[in-house]
Amino acid sequence: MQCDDLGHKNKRIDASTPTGFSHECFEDDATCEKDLAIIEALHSGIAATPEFRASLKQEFMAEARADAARHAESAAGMNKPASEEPRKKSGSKVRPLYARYAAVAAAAIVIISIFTTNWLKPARPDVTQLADAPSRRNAASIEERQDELAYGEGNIRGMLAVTSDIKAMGFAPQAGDSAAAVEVSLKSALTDDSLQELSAIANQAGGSVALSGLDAVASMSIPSEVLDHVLSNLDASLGIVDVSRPVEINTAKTCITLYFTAD
Amino acid sequence: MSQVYTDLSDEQLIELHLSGDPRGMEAIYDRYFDRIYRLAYSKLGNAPDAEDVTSAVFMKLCRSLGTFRGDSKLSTWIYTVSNNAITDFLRKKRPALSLDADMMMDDGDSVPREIKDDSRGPEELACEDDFARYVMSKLEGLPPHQRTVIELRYFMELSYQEIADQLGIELGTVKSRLNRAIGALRSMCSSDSEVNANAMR
Repeated sequence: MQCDDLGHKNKRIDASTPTGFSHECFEDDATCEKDLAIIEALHSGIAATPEFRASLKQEFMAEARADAARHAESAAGMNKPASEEPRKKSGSKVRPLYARYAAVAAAAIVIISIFTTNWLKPARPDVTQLADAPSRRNAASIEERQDELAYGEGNIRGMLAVTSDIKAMGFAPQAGDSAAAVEVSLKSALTDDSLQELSAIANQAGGSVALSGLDAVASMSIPSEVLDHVLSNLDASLGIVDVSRPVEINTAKTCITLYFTAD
Repeated sequence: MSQVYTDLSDEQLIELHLSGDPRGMEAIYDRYFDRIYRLAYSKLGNAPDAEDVTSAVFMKLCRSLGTFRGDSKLSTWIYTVSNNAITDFLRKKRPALSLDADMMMDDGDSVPREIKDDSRGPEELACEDDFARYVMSKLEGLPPHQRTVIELRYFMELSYQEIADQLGIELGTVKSRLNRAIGALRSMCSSDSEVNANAMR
């Protein structure tokens, strides 16, 4: 007689069914026989008909063969025969989920970085708008100057203040601009001599000079690369009071607006 | 089926299949057919429904084996798939109209529905010599945790340790639950025998 952890007071009988299921019985032999009969009934008492078993197997194996063929093709396509690369125990897993997530995340980062770069980049200026930017600049400055002249002041300082304002409004030339605007105030008055000097300097630089139609104002168009050379020539021959120029000139041509001293 | 294949583990059979050898799947079929059928029969109670579910499980097995990740044993995976298939089957089979609800007449009145219960009672079942079907019918009377260990042990043929791992319980707990479940089944069968004996007098 023994008493086990489960509170059974009878001796333990280790028995097994004909199909090999062991059973620990804590009752008498007759009870143990009943238990074994129940176990045997659970395990072996119910069976499908042989017809169903065979027909399902046929159907199942047709699917299995097709699936196995797909796997074989896949293995051949990867040029890695499965027999040469047996899967490890944990390697029987298909690609782990975290690896798929990592691949998706990497793709998302690449896409986001591409779009972010484009989104954060300043929009390229409209070429057609910039093409007439100098003329708009000139028009604005001329308009302001006319107002100034209307008050009878007409001094150069006033005009220079206007051009500074315009520059501060964002008229710095951009790539694609047709011509950069440089404004120069000269010590000399607009005379035939000074105009001849101007023409000579422009010709030497490969540019041209034109009168704007306003009093004491002319414009000179020169290649940008010789701007400094032209400015030094202007200073030497006509005397420069002030120069207003963009920080950076990146156009092929530069338009210099020349303001002569009023008589 | 060659002895070589029947001796291989589930993992090795899956590997064979994935390497293009369909005999791996054939061995899996032979190994699991009875287990799945028994489980389905125990929950559905008749052969045609058990056959339907068994077919569904094997078709799903064939389609999904490529995605089997090996996190659990194939036997426990099949057990889960089978239970899901049984649940789906029962859900689809459940009639939309409750048999307990009153029957509505054309004039708007309702009368209680009277339906003859053709199912066999415990006495009829006990009188039959088909003891296995009788025992199966008693499984519904077990608590769920006892029924689960019965299913895993005697239908799916898992070892005590595998059951313990699957359920996350101690080995001793598995054994005690099995003993109690068998004892409960024995008691139910005995009480039915007494009922029958009394009825015979």
